[in-house]
Amino acid sequence: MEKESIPDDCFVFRYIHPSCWTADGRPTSGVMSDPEMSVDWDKYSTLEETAHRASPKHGAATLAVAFLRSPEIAQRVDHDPMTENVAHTHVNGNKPPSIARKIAKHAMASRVYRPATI
Amino acid sequence: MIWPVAAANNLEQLKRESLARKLHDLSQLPAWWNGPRSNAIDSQVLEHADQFIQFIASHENLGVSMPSPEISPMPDGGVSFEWTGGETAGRELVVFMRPGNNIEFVAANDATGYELSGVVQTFSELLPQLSWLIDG
Repeated sequence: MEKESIPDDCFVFRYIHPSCWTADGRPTSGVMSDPEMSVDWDKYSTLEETAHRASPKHGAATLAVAFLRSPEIAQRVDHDPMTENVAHTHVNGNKPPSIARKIAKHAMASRVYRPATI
Repeated sequence: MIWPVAAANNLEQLKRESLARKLHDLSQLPAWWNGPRSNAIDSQVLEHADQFIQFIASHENLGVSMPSPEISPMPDGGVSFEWTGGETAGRELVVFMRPGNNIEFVAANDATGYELSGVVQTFSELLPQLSWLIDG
């Protein structure tokens, strides 16, 4: 499966476990802390499809590729398609609390999906 | 004069029980709780996190007035503590406890542009940030 270059004006979706939402409705910083964070490219997935791919209880959050690649956040966004998920992408880079917190706050300002049962 | 103190102690006890329940819930998470790169929560991290809650409660100047943090799992098996600012005039504190017992933190106030981050080895080294969260 061929890897593609992801343009800056695209978005990626991060699935969010039910225990990883704050009281004010944003993903926690902790769930954004993985140095090799799996996300889905919006060219091949929707927000809801990404959430459901994880489980019916998972939600998902939207992240702008340009934001992730900005000098302040300094992440690499690399398409890494898998047989079962062509949208699969990695957000690579160190994510100490200062960076993870900014990614989580960015997600809050973008579109998020939470199942109604939570 | 006795009643408010008793109420505060009861409230504190309720907060501690709620946080302990949350840690117990995290201890039940299986591997892959958030996809293939998410580990079960490390037992030493859970113990460390429980000690952190007790550390906060044991400090007279912090315990009663300290808002409850959001406690959540981390994909590497760590636990994050997060005070998001609703009860602290915009001051926010995020603490990551990762396997290996390093404690990473960021204290930030987006309204003022203040941000301080670092890595510490002991809870005592976080006291300035915890006090700042309450008092500014």
